[in-house]
Parts: sequence; C-alpha cells; structure tokens
Amino acid sequence: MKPHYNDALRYCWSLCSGKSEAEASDVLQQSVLQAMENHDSLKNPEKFKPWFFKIITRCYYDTFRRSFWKRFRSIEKIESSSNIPCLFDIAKMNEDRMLISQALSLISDKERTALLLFEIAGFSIEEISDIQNEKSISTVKSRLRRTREKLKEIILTAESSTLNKKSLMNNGKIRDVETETLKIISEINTGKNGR
Amino acid sequence: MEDNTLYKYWDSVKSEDFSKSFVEVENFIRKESFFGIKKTKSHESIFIKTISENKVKYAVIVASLIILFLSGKVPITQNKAIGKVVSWSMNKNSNNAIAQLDNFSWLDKSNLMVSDTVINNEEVLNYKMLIPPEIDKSQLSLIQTNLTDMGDVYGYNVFPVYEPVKRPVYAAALYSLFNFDMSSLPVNHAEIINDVSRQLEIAGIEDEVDIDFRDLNNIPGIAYIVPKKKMDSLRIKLHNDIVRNVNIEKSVGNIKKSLEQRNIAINADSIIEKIVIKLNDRALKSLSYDNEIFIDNPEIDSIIIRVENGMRKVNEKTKNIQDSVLSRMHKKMIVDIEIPDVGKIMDSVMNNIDFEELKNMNIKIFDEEELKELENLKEHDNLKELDNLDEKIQIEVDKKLKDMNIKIEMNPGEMKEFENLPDSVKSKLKDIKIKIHDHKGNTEQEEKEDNNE
Repeated sequence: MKPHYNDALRYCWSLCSGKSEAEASDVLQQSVLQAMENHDSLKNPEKFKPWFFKIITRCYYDTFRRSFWKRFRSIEKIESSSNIPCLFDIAKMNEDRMLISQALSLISDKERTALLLFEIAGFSIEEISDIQNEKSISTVKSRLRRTREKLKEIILTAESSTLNKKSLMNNGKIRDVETETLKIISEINTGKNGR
Repeated sequence: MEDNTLYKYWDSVKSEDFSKSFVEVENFIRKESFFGIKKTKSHESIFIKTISENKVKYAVIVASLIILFLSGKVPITQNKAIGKVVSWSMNKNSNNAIAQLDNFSWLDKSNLMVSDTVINNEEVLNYKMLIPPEIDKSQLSLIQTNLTDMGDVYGYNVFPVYEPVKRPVYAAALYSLFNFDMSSLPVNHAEIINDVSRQLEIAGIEDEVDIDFRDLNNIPGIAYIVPKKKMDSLRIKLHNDIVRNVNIEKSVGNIKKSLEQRNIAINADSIIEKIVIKLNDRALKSLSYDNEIFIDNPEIDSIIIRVENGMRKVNEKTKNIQDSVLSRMHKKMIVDIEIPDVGKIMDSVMNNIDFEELKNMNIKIFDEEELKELENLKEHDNLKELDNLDEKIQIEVDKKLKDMNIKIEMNPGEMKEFENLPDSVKSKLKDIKIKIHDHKGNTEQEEKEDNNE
C-alpha cells in the first residue's frame, strides 16, 4: 500500500472536493477497512492500485449517494473500533489547490472521478473504464475531454475575476449568489464550446 | 495546449505530501486488523452475504410487496354492462302491428316487458326488451329497421344497462385496461339490505318497512320490502314474462288461506278473484311461501303477491327504490300489476253493476289515523312536492265530481283513475248517488241518507 499511499490520499481528498475534512476522512477510513476486509478478493497483488482506487471510488459513492436506499444503509456494514486520524486540512491548502478543489466540486461525481483517476492517479483510459464500470472506452474518453473543458472554463472564469476567484475559494458550501452565477456562466460557455 | 491552464493546479494537488501520515494509518490498520474489524465469514455464500448486508433494504421491498398485494385484494365497485335495453311504444289499438311483432326473430319474450299507459286519452303500450351485451351492430340495426318500418312504432330508443359489481383492485384494473372480466365477488344479502335501507333513509322512509331477502327458484336476488303498518292492498308481481292468461283461480282460496294465517285481512277478495281470473288457463303448482305462488309454466318463475301499506305516498317512494334495486339485482324482466285498481274494478262491474258487489268493493279512503300520519309525512321535504300535487288534483277532481253530483271519496291516485273511466260508467255511478266508504265506514247509513235525499 505504501507505494500508492500518497496518490490514494490525494485522490480521496480531491474526490471529496467541496466536502469537509471529516467527510473525506470517513471515506478514507471506509476504504481502508473495506480493503482489509476484502483483501482475499485481490488475486493479483500487481493489481493492487486499481483495486484499491476502485474501493475508494465505491466508498465515495456509497457515502454521498442521495438515493432512496441511502436511508436504509445497513448499520452493520463495517464497524471500526476506532477512527482513522484526520489527515486532511483545508487550512494547509495553497491558493491554487483551493481553487482547483472548489472548481472540482462544481463538476459531477463521475466526471471528477474520471479526471482525477487520469490526472492524479495516472491510470490509463482502459483502467479508468474498468474502475468506473464503463463498457466503452470511448465513453471515458469523451467524458475526460468534456470534463477538462468544463474545468478549464471554470478556472479561467475564476481567474478573470478576482471576485469570482475569492468566492470560488470561499471555504464551506458553495451557496452564495456569485458562485452560482459563476457556475451558470461556465455552463453557458461550455455549451457554446460544445457547439 | 488544452491542459496548460490546468497544469499548475494539478501540480498543486500532486505536491500534497501525505507520506508522513502513513505511520498513523499503518497503526490504525494494524490496530483494526488485530482488534476491531468484524470480517464477514468467508465461508458464507455470496447470496447469504448479500442478504445479510442488505436485509433492511430487502425488508422494505418485502413489506412494500405485501402492502401492494393486500391493497390489490381490496374490493372496489365498478359498473359492468349487462346488456342494452331497446324501448319503443305502440298504440294499444294497433292490433296488426302488435301481432307483427311475433314474427321478428329477435323478439325474446323472456326478456320483454310491456306496460300500458294513457297519454292524451290514448292507450299506449310501452315495450322494453333486454338484449345481451354481445349483440353486434348489425343485429341492433335490424331491430331498429324492423320497428321503424312498421310505422305504428314511435319513441324507439336504445340505452345500456349497468350492474354494480365488486372486484378486487387488480381485477378492476384488468377489467378497465383490457376489458378482462374476472368473476365478480358475490354480493351478500346483508349488503343489499344495508343498501336498500340506506336508500330508504335518503328517501325519508325510516322504520316504515321490513326488508327481507330470499333466493327464489335458485335465482338469487329478490328483495322484499314490506311496510310494517296497516295492510289494505295487494300487489301481484309477475316474473320473467308478460303473463296474460294464467289460471290461478283455483289457488285464490289458497292465497286467502295463507294470508289469513298471517293475520292479513283481505278487504277486496272478490276483486282479487276477478283480476286473477283474467289471468286464466295456467295451473298453479303450489303456494310455496306465505305470499308467493309458483306456476308450472317453465317460462314463468313465480308470481309474488306482495302486501303493501295503504299509504300510497310511502308506497310510491318505496316502489321506486325497490324497482331500482330489483332491476339491478334481477336481470330478468319484471311486470307489476297493482290491485285494487279503480280502473279494473270499474271494468269488472261495468257490464253488470251489482249494488251488493259495489258495496263490497274497497274503494279506500283515509281514516283519521292515516290522515294524521300523512300530516306527519308532510314534514318530510321530499314528500311536500308530491303532497302539493295531490292536493291540487284532489281539489280539481272534487269540483268535477260535485258538478256531476257524485259523492265518492277516493284518494288522489284513485281519482285520477276515475277520471279515465268511460262516460257511460261515470253516468251510471252518477245515477247511483252513493257515498262509498271503506269496510269500516257506515256505508248503509250513508245510503239511507242518500235515499232520504
């Protein structure tokens, strides 16, 4: 696990963009515990990295899914005798890290997952399609391209306006009018580019 | 090119170093692996594992299915088409046209009902025939063509007849969506009695009648609505066909005997006899129930003699409700003949007026007790309009009778019948100059007074 430790935590932390440190820690803890519980299913140790990242991705979805069934999650899923130490700290983020974090929080879970697996974890498109359970590689390709454009638009829009940048970097939930306006502008721009 | 913008941002992410914290995570993992983790038993099958991990989810699914299943079993009421009714009218004197009806292949006498009414001093026969729902348009148009070609037919009309049936929700859905008729739930007697009672209450008639329910000749669904109070008239109800010639003369004695056993006084025996004799040529099989007569003709189910209350207004209300209930429950046609009928009474004596016979006739008037009850009934809003109408008729007829110097006290319904009598009968009655009372009245005394006059 050690060789992939940094990438895994960066991925987990970035995946939880827009969420609190505690929530990100919870995802990490669930991922580690599930990996321990299911280590028998890992038949090829060389495939540890995609296997573990898949677990992180699934734990993230399970933690933040909004489906009807969330309210019926089994309380016996995995019980831990203690909590993992909190390893994430927003206060330690520099300006760029904070901006990309907030920009990532504005895109969908699937898009964010694909992009982070590619950019941070360094997986190939085939591996990403496997982790995301996609049958077609082209789906992942187009998703990556679309997400990059979207993220780029958000970043550029934020950079062009100090106000936007500040509001985008505003800690906590993105609910203020400026940020919502920024989101709409970026969506409009993305739509134009799509044409 | 496209990623140049994002490079520095990705770098900022990649520059994050968590390696120092690995020791803490490692300790956590070691600690959990030693003490904490409740590892799922590896020997458990995937099926058991899936069930145990999602048991709350499955419990909700199972509970939902049970609720869905149970709600599907709840019966709801729907209207089911039981056929169509073709109705038309003909002049009673159009003998050729009436005879011509028998030639039509589609005419089903077992499902035909005929009633006669007087419209503008002209006797009219109203025909109603129930035809099954599966009849196709060509047959229906044949009926229409045959009838309209006859010339003497008017008022041709076709309308559907529905019957309320109870079906479970799933069956109702199937019926609504696919017209798939699953067997309907049987309607039990208690439900029908409740239904009738409720309708009677709505009509303002409470505690006035007894409701009974019997299966007759294995035909379910005959409801009896029998008034509780004084009984001074009889109704003969013929089932299943128009019965013109039924010999029940021999059974009149049995009828009387049966009714007397029930302590029901018959005030107009001779009149019943005369009406019954008109329905001759058929033998009665037996007198099965207290007030029912069965006939050996297989086409005719039964004759029911129903004892009714003398209060006409109550009976009219009851009859309407009762008929609607009967028509819903009993698919076969029903013909009502109500006696005593002033018109028929007068017919019977028209050719040979016998003073004694006339005296014995029960031309009913209201006694004090009945009048008091009628006054009470007027308090009911739904009867007021009817009362007002009767009062108007009473005043009008009273005036005419006075002009003719006839002193006959009759209730408004009977007055209307009297109005339709031939002039020859009216003139004969005028000559008699008697005041006819009910059996309780002092008829002889009145006659003496008249004679003195």
